[in-house]
Amino acid sequence: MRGAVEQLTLKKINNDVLEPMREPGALYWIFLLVTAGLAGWGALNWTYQVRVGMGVAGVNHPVGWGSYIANFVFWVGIAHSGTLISAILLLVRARWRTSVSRSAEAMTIFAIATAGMFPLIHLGRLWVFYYILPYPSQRQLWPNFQSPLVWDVVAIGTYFTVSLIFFYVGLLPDLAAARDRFEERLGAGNIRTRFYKNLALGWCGNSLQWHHHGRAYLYFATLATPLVVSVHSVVSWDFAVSLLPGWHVTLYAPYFVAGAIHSGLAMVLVLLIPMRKLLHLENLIQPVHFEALALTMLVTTGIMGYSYIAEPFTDWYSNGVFDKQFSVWRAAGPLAWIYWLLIPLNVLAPLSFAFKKVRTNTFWLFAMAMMVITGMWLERLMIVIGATWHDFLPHNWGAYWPTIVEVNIFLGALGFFLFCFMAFSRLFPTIAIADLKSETAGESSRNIIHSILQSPVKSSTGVLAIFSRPEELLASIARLNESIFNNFDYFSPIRLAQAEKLTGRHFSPVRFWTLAGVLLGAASGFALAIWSAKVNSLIVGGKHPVSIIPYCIIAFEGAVLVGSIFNLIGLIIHTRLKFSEMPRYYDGRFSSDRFGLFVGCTREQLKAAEKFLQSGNPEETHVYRT
Amino acid sequence: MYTALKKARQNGVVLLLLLATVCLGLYSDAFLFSDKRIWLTLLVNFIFFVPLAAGMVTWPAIIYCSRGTWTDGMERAALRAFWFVPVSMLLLIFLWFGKAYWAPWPQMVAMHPIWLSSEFIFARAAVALMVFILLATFFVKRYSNKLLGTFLILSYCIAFTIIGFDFVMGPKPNWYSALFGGYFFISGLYAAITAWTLAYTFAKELKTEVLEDLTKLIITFSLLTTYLMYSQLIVIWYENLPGETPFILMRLNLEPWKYFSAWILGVVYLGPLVLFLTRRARTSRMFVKIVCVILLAGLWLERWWLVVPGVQGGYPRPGLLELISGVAFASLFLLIYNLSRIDYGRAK
Repeated sequence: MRGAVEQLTLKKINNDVLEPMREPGALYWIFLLVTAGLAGWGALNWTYQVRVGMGVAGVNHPVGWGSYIANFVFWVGIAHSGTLISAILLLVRARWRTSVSRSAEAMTIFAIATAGMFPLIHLGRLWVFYYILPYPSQRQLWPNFQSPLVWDVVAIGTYFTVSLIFFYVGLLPDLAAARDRFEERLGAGNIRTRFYKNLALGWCGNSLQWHHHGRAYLYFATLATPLVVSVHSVVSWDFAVSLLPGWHVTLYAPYFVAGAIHSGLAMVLVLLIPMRKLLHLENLIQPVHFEALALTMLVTTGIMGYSYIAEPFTDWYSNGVFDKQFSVWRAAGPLAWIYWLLIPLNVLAPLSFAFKKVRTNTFWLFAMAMMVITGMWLERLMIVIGATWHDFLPHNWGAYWPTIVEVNIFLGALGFFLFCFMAFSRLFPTIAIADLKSETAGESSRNIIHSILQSPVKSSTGVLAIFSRPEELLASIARLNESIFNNFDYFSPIRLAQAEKLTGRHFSPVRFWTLAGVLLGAASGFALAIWSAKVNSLIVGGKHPVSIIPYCIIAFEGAVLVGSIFNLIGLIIHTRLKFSEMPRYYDGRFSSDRFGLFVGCTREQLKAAEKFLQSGNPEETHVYRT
Repeated sequence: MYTALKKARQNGVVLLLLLATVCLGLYSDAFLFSDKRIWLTLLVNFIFFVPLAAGMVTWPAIIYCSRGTWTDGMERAALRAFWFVPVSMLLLIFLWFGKAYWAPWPQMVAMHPIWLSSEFIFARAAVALMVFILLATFFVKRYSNKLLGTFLILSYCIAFTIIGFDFVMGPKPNWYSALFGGYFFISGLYAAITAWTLAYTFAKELKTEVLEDLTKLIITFSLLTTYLMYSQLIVIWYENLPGETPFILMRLNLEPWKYFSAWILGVVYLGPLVLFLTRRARTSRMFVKIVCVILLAGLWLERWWLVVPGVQGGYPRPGLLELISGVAFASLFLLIYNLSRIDYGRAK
């Protein structure tokens, strides 16, 4: 799998990823217009609903939660694969993730944004949305931290914030690459250059930045991994903590999480297969990457199949009249067509990925992934509407089907999501450039074991050497240790773990920031929930106002949120991002395919330093005098 | 040097043999009393050691199927547990003979006459275990075969879902949870990875990177187990239904169970996250060894805590009998493990 990627040069990766960000073709604009049109159509329908009232939607007694909530659950689920690919696969060192991680991360953010609209749409009077925001009792509001709806707000808010930070931190080196490329092509004053310059926060790829960035990114992944599991679990508890048969199932949390990742991976395939063609990324996103995604889907397929058996089995095993009659109704009532479609769509179709011929054929991959997305949407709809449609009392049974307004709003949301993704594909690098470059050059930079203590370069008088290969840079750094020049810094388009060892950077204080944030966040979560509960001390549902079991959710989300924010703060402080200007000896090629080594020295030592660096076989050397 | 090591190993085997004989002898004496508590300890040992041994065989399959390349030939340390899995059939037969003392099904047939008949319960457990043993027999010889590995993983999940439902949830048939089968096999894998790590700490040439990866897997599976337990807890706690609540009511509110719950939460569920927080802790052979032993003891107690409070007449605190039974089966497990003819540590 890695062989094909290793044949690429750093320059080629830079060009292949950044080139599609320049002039889009006619096809791109057509797609963009169609998706924008769809989004606009959805917005018009939403406006109509706000003006006329919720009567235009199909929700009514007894089915109070309809397609809007199903859409919310579906889109939150779609968001999950991004974190899976970025965080979980990073932690388990699955190297194939590199080519698809950026698109998946972007997809996560747009999917959460899309999901976040649906509770507002469902609310009807969306201008009172702030009622659901969890803040301590003020203005006669009482946020009940035992309510799953408040957990939802906390979890989704945390997920969006952390995903955005995670996405941005991973993007930093690539934004610098875009900045330098646009500066070279369009000049420093061009609006696009300035756009990337501002976003890149002065990233120059020196030893300090790479070192802390590597640690911080790892901690983000560590925090994001349990977060992704918690978010859809919390969404599942919206249903599972109720009394209704069909909702009250202990299995729901892992079942929802697996389904979310299942649909998210399918969406990644559906987006990447055409994007690869449209943006000419065939060299970078290869069939083996799709194959790996398909194989990962086999795991989620297994969990889905397991859940589809375990749930009706428990209904039957319970011997409860309501559980049993609900199971029978679901399999033989008006929703039976959805129920029975789920098995071919969500289990049998992706199970075909077990065959190499299917998972290596992009057409079949696309077709199967579309089937899974359809199946997962239908499943969410069935879960949301089924339980209230057919609850305990026969006289309370009703029916629900989405109206045309709901269908239009769904199409609008789809358009919004695709529009955001299309815009992203032109505005930002769609592939993690620095990670992919590390894949290419990584192996050659892991052979030298040597260590010296090194402080950052303070002087701007010195000599800069530019190398074309990381091995030459590493060899020169190793020789510097034995010379009189111990004030130096390097620049690299990729993280060089070996160079960090050579410059004596083993320890990053970012870990303390993160740990402090996690502890503070957990304590704050408990404190917020307990304090709010004590204001009125109301007993709801027979629960003690201060109940630790549900407050664990608030504390956990707080730990992840504050831990991530502290991690970001630690990163910014220790890498001195934004707080310092780019060094004047920085060269734009350092974000593309060249490696720089700057030796700071006195004016008297300049000649000796230049001679010393030239012995390391650099492409160029430049002398800088204050 | 080699002879000395061989001798030491032989001495270890003799010691284990002695320990196993003494403890099993003492334990089997207890059966003369035909008390419910004695049969329950047998059940606890069955649901602790069988998933542990089977899980150790399954772990290399999980790693191969997920294209993991970090094991460095140490999967043989896990595969040596294979020979304990057939012992499970023996335990199953013993449990069958004692079912009148510990199993509630003979009185519950009206609920599901066929499904909850003792014959069918034991038959499906036996079939599930035999399928697993059959697949494992082939897998031990060809443990890089991904297809075989996939089927082995599936058979593990199915077998221990069935056993989890029948032998852990089943002793209290009025209580049910769709998640219980999943919880049972995941916690079995947690016990297995802990045992594998413990075995690896005895390796002559230990690689700290591999040890760190193993301890990270312990953290991951402890959190996964915690998550699954919490997922049941929050749903049951929230709705407070009479049929469901007794499970958590007994364990969280009543003495002495609540003290064991606190201990299990602190040690088994959250312990690895705290104890293995630093890299130094994760790579220290001695520290990892001590923590693994504590975790395994904690996991044994967790199995006891899952079964005993729900059974009418269950003895409320583990005593000498439980200790002797645990040590007996642990020494039997170690004895079989040591006598296993798969050579440990040989490169693939």
